[in-house]
Amino acid sequence: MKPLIVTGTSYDPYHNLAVEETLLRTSCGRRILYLWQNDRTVVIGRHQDAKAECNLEKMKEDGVLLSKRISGGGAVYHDMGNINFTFIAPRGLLSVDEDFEIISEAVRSFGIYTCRTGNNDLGIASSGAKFSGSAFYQSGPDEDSPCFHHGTILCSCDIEKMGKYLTPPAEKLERHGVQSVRARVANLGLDSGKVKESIIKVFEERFGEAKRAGEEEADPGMVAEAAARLSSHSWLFSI
Amino acid sequence: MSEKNDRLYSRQHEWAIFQDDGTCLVGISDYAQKELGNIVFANLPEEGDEVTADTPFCDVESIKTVSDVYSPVSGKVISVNEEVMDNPTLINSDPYGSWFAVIGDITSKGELLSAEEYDEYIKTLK
Repeated sequence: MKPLIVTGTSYDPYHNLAVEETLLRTSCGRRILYLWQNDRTVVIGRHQDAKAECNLEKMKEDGVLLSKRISGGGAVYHDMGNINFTFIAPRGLLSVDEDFEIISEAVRSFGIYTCRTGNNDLGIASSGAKFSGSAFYQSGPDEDSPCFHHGTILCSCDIEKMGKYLTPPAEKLERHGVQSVRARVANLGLDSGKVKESIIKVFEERFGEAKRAGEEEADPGMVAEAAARLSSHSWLFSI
Repeated sequence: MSEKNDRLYSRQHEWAIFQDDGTCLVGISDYAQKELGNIVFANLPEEGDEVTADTPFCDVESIKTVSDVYSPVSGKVISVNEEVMDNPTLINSDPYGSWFAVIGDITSKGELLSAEEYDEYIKTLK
């Protein structure tokens, strides 16, 4: 089966996270690349406390949404200057190193060299500043369990806003919850559309010609069900 | 063989100890904790939750990934291990002592393997 590349056109974080989850659950061993963008949103990790991680009042004032992903890790701020990528494959086929190679090669075609900063991040080689952070979800620990590696690529994100909305707790909280870590970040300063095209090109060079589709490729009934769950108060505010 | 004989195992790498009072203790295997790496959060179910065999009933987050944990039986959660919630690294250091939940009112079981069968099964992985 040909790999599948899905390019999203919605900027609604709940819809997009629901598309991602549905693509994963229905992947049946297929390799999938999903590229998507959220309009102004804070996305927290699955086991994070929204009240501790972000300034909900300022977000409300400015019309910034809160969403929570099913993967782990820390809080991030998304706007239209950021691209999200999701690599979906059976656990045995998914390689984080390979995914990072694809992103790095795509970025290098614009003359920007990258470096790994920490296990799950990519930085700009000349400055060491992080432009891409990643998180992971697996539906099980076996070779054929569908899993995804997803992350952000800062192209022209309003980085000042990150500090405004994200408030990583200075001290450890009494009761667990996974805490964000501050990192020095920078934009690539590239057009997000061109970066997406470049990622698609490198992905196909590596895995062969892919079927191209829009987000309607994901089962609409499952997407609606997942979007309702992912935007519910109980999901967003439970740790 | 590193697996313990006092319990049964699922192919999704959970273990289950069936107790004399009809309840069942559930945790994850040594293989599972090794595959996950350092566990930073255990999102355990709540008392009273209905669980279904071979269906996710809670999840754990390690430094590498979030992973679903499947229930080996259908029934109801009687209690959860607060100690594991407060200190999830226990799952790494003592996977066979760190039970996640006690499940009662068991109505059915998934397919479960003996320690020997499970040991053979994990040899076929990788």
